[in-house]
Amino acid sequence: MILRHMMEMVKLGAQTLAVLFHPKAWRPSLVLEQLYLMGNKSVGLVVFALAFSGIVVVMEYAFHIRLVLQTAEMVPGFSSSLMMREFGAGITALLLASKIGAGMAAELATMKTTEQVEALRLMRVDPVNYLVMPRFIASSIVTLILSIIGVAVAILGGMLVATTELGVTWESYLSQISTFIQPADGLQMLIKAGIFGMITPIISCYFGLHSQAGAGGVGKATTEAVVYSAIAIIGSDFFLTWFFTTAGRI
Amino acid sequence: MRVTAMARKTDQILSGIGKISLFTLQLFRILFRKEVQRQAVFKQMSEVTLHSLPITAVAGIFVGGIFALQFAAQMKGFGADGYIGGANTSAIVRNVGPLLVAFMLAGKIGAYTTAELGTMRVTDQIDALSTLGLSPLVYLIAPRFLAILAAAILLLIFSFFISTLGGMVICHLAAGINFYQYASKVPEILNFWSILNGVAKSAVFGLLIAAISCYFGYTASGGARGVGTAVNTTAVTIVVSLVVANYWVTSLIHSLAAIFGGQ
Repeated sequence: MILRHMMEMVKLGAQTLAVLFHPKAWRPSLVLEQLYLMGNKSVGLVVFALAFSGIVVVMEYAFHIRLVLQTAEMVPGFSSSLMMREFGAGITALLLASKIGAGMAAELATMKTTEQVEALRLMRVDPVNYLVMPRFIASSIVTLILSIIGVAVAILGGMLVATTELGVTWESYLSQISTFIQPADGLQMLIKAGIFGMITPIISCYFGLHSQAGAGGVGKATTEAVVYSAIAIIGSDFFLTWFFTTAGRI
Repeated sequence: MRVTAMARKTDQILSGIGKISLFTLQLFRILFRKEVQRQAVFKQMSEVTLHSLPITAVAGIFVGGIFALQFAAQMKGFGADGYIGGANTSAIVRNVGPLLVAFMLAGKIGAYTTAELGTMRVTDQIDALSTLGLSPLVYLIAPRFLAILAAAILLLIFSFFISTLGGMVICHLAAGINFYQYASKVPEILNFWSILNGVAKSAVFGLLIAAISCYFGYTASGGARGVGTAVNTTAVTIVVSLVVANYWVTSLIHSLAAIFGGQ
């Protein structure tokens, strides 16, 4: 069952990439519309959630570092490098899987149930080209940009709690970040964000386009899109982290 | 124009929070009445738990592995190898375990419940219950609410164990830290307050998932499109409220620990 789903998803991904490398089929206006719908509607959500996450990461890091190294001095450096490597892309992608992923699945499943997808086929418009490809491009770009914004907000939120509760001045907070964070950490975040941004639309569009008819089918498709996007993000996060931490040591 | 739009948005969010709270309060009032069938609760509970167990296990192992790798990479340079296991276990129980696994349960349990109840609502099955003189809140929502609450708490606590196991195995495979080294510092770092933190978070997250998913499913309207919108709203609302609740529980436990002299 799951293997069949995965095969079909890989097929959909390959089709999307095939369309992508066929410049005649590009639809810039649709991509722009999706960019607006996804990016502009999610930026508030990401800023709000990542600010809270940044605060919690610093609070928890302070607790643990005090136990292990007996001092809270290094907290800003450690916590911001963890935010950069892990939370920036990971939490943003999980938020967007619920926001954008479920939205895409609900929209496409509604179109499928009201036979709009069949109507497209009837007019000789390829659904992959017209529906999936713009969402794929827009989601990749949006996840990249929003995770950069999210990391910045999380680091600022961390600064707020570090200066008020840990007694670290903001100058030393910022200078520690500049010594601790390497360009490789930023690269790791961008690569993760890019890959998560490509996973979500493929999985969500797959479940949207293959939904059963009726209200039950739409609900089921939306649920499956959220669940499998989240599990795929967590799983690929693990393998990417493994790759980066071992590659860093060689 | 911008200001009115923002005001309307704020009003929408605040009234949404109010409506969900009132709905939950109403549910709590009828939760322990005799008409709520015990058997329905247990049936729902086993269904939800078995349904979500495999995916919780997979997510738990990966979450444990991710943070084991990150901590190993960060602490290698400081000669604190022995503490990786303790720090990872403590971080999983206190914070990242409940949050990341609850993100997934938001989809698996929350969105699923909304889809189910929303479908019943738009196909007039809930109205049919009312017509028969049966209160849908008592017969439909209350057993589900209790079952989801219990199942989410159990699954989150189960994920602590499986994440610790995942972290152990991954540390052994990727960072060369053996099981004994991993476990040796756990009792030193993982104290009563950390466990209380993890269990309190599981309870709060379970309550949020149950209340929000039941509310949006119960109030869905407008055919297939309406069900899709309701499921989407549920997923987003649960995820945001999880992040906010994560902060409040963490800071509450920090201050409680400070008052009672723990850590």
